[in-house]
Amino acid sequence: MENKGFVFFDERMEGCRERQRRLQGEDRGDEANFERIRENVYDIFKTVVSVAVKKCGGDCRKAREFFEDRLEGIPSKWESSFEKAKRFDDVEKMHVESVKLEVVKDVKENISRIWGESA
Amino acid sequence: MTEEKAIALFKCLSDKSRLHILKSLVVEDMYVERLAERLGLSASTVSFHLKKLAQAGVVRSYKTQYYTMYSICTDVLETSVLEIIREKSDDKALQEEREAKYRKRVIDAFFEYGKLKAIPVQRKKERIILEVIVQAFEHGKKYAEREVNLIIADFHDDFCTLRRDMISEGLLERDGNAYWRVE
Repeated sequence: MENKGFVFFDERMEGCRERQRRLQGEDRGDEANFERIRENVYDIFKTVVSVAVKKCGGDCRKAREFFEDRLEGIPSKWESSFEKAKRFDDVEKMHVESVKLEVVKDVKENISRIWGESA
Repeated sequence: MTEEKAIALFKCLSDKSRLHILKSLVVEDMYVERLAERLGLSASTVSFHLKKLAQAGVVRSYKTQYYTMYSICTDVLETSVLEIIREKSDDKALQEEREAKYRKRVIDAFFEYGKLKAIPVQRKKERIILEVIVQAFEHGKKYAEREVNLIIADFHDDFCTLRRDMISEGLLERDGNAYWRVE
């Protein structure tokens, strides 16, 4: 279970790093920075997986519950920050928050892959 | 164009996506979604770049019936690099620009959408945020303490500290129970 989750995050993070390198090479500094933000968010949830596994021992169901709970809790601040930025027409902040929330959506869509078919 | 503005302009232009946006806008005015489709970028990425270009003064927006359109500010872009280099830098203006930049940094760091996030520990920084808050008071008007508290509370919950500091910084004056903004 742990390895499958890590593979998903490692693949995604490598993808971010690759795009980051390409964008930097093309002198698209801000977009490269967004890829770095994306990578950091994947890294946060990778850490949550390892904490969940450690905390819940061999209980796969409990570990997944722990992870899903954090998957709802951690982005709530980003969601409110996005809404606040929208109210004040702060386009820059809106974009940064939407990049983070896109990662959350991707993680949610791949939750079965992260926890393996048997989870 | 001041040196600071020139640097901001050059920094803004040293990005391939932003240059491509300008290349599209030089042909015709466009809206975000059309630019996004043309350049293969997401709409929010294009909005982000347009904001940067607008801040540098090279792009402006206007509303039509259905869309917000973006166009190029030709006057800024027609300035030659040689003209910018030849422009003499005035020491006093430079100093004022540095001060204004520092002030903006402090305000951006301590305020979020008009609310004060925390009271600065450094006196110089606190003075700047107090100067922002005092602008909420009208010149020549007398305020009761309760009114002063309500105005300051719009910025931060600790209105007592801020009210006292505004007095000690000489931004507000008091006489009995009335407060007024120092001219």
